[in-house]
Amino acid sequence: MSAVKIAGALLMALAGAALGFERSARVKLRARLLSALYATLGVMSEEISLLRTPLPELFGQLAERGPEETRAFFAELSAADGSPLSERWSACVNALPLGDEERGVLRALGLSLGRYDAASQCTQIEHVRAQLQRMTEEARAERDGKAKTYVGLGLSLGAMLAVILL
Amino acid sequence: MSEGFLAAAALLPDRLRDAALALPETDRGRAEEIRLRAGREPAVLLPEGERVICRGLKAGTRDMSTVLERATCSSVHAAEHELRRGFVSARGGVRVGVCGTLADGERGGMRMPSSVCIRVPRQIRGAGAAAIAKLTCPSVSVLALSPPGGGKTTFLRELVRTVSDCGTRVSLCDERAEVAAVWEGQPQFDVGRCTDVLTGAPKADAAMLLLRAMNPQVIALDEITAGQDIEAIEAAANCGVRVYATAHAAGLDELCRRPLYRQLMELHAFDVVVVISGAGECRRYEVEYL
Repeated sequence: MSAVKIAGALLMALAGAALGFERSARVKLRARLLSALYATLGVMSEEISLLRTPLPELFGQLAERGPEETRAFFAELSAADGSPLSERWSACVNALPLGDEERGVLRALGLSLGRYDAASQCTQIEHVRAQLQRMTEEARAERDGKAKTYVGLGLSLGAMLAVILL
Repeated sequence: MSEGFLAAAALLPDRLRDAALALPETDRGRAEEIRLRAGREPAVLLPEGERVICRGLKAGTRDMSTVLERATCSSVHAAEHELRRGFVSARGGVRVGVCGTLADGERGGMRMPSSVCIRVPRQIRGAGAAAIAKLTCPSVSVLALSPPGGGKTTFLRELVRTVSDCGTRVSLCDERAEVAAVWEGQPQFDVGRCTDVLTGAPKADAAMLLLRAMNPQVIALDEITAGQDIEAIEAAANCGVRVYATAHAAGLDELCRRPLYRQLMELHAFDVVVVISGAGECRRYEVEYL
């Protein structure tokens, strides 16, 4: 058996495993991100309701001290470039590694963010949080059920390809 | 181009801003306000009256929401307190007056704005300079009078700036953010190097707070309109602090005909009344010693 064949089989096995780990990490990240967004929107709602904190200041705080998963999102938002907040919010949401439904819910919030009084603003945020909570639970269920499966499938696929090659 | 007009136009939605910036330079330089009314053509207020910015271009409530969004840096909720009183202060000394529906009476926020008035900020340095020179040497308590829109606030700003730059500690009660136009903690108009500004508080509360906290030599208040304002002036005068204030009246006779201001004059808190009349470059400042 040539060394090339062995190296090829090893690479196949590694590629399969990497694919499985990547899928598994994506499922875990989605659950963590949704959970972080749920928590962050809760902070936003409280800050708006109790302290009337202006959004640029709030985004800055969340970019520095918010959950790790959402810091880059809020850092991008707080880098004001003169465009309307709804546009910036929408662009930042589109860059998040989430599904279409989740992005749609978040984009809808961007249309009202910063345009209304505190009570209306908090009502909107809480409405979105309620939807995020359901999505977070679904994402966690997917993570618990499928993360290990993806790793196992990836490893199996890699091993199978390696065996075929050998 | 007038910086004030640029700052005011920057709050408009893009299509209206483009139309406003296309106005002749002479109009932009003289514009006092930009006005939007739901379903109507936007207009600029010039000294001779309102002029439509662009025929056929109509403003909607969405445009007014955009103005508020831009004026508050996408934080209308943070300006709720101001909005309930009908205005919001923005960057560059711009003041946006809002008219619409107040939800839930005085406690709710402003919903569905139907009219917006964007005031073009303008600091007229040297306004009433000759009169101010008489008032600062020796320093006295001053009451400035004029009809609405007659230049009282401009005069008060210049008076405060002049005495403050001479080293006198001035505390300014700027209830409606018109005199100093504080935005993010910084006055947008020059009100002098020794001026401390308290924005947003009712004048009576503000005066007492400033007397306790800032040890002023002069307290300045714009537009005396209520009994509590007069109590604030009495408190300041009793503490040996000089008072600069303004009131709506065409002259001393008209002032004394109104019961509220009669009460004010009976305090003998002022040494001098400055009556402002005329408009634009023809504005006159008459100093009357009491």
